Amino acid sequence: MKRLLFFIFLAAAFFSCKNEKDKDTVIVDSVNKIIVVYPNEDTLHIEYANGTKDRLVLGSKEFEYLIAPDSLKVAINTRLFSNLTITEVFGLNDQEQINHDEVINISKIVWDSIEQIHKISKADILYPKTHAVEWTKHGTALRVLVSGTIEAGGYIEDEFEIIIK
Amino acid sequence: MARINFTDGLKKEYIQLYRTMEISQDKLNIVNNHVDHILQSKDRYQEIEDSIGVPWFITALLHTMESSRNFKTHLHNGDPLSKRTTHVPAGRPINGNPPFSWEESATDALKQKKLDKIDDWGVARILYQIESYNGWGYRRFHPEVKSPYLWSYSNHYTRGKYVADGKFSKTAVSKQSGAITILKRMEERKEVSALSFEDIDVPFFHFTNGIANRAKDLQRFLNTFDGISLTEDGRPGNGTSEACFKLFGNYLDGDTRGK
Repeated sequence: MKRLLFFIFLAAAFFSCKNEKDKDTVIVDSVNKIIVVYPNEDTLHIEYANGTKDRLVLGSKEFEYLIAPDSLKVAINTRLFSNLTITEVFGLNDQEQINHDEVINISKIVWDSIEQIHKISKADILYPKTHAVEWTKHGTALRVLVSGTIEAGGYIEDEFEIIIK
Repeated sequence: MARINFTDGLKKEYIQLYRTMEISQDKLNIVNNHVDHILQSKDRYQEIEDSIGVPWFITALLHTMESSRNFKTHLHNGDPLSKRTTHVPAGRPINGNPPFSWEESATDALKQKKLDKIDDWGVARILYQIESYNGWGYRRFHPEVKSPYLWSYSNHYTRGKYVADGKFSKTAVSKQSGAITILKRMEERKEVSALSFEDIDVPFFHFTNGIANRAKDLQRFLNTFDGISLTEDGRPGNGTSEACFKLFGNYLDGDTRGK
């Protein structure tokens, strides 16, 4: 019988995306705010205070979103596949529109970290899930839970706080 | 995600894939282990079938793929049964109160996907529903890769998969057996009745200049007849089609000369 190893990592990791050279940087200095967000089919519709509208086609009917308290960015958990859930943060660019090219892939940040710290490959994780739970620090940080099963045996459960400025 | 319709073309493709699939021999023990473990819990899957009509092996395959047959978690997404799901899809099951039995939760998950509304579980329908359950990402964005959720550990899958960060990796290899690979083994071991095929004309071989499954076998067979000399390259193109015409009076399906 195979012996299952259970790993539970509870240490929080902190990341800052404020360095403008960082490819995941999102500059959110607009005064234009999100006032309405609503899901429809596979699309999240967003309306701003100045009347402009935007939409995110998420490619899945199964997603949920968390708007930051400052209403300048939104975190979205998307069930990409039945056994793979990812988290992304969308913000506004200097044109006061969602910059679709500057999405913060929260899942990449946390799984890259787990790969380095625990010497495992993210390609070897079964049922990987990242899940934004809440905005913290007045909307400048996002609390994210991550879980997955290691193919060789074992379970990863971790919690991250991602600082996004 | 945009819906992929269950067209005749798709039915043919699924049937063709199922007919030509071969379980990787070096993975046969692992696949057999899956079948053995599934059979240990067959009664529980059968209970679902008796209740809502979803074939027991469908539930067993989804349970295997979604949570390694963990009866302490929701079939929806692997969250614990002690409360409603918290991950996407959150708040399931809507009815009832936690803690949920696995059967309650599984019934809700299958109904949410409307699997209880399906009457005809032919091979193409089975493959369609299982791929649909997982998602259409491979078919839509990486059609060069047959979904490992269905085909891993078979001749239809080599490499390429979506990894934990949601990005597609061309080099990553799934190390989880595909659902249809397990199903095929269950059929081979006669643990499920011989699966039926939809009433649709699906030739074993199609005209193509690319490599096709079992085409070398066809060419080898054709070469045993006088007057036929084909390069056994696995590409059923002009020469192979002409040999078929010579022998059977019909060109390969898809050869314009046969119209």
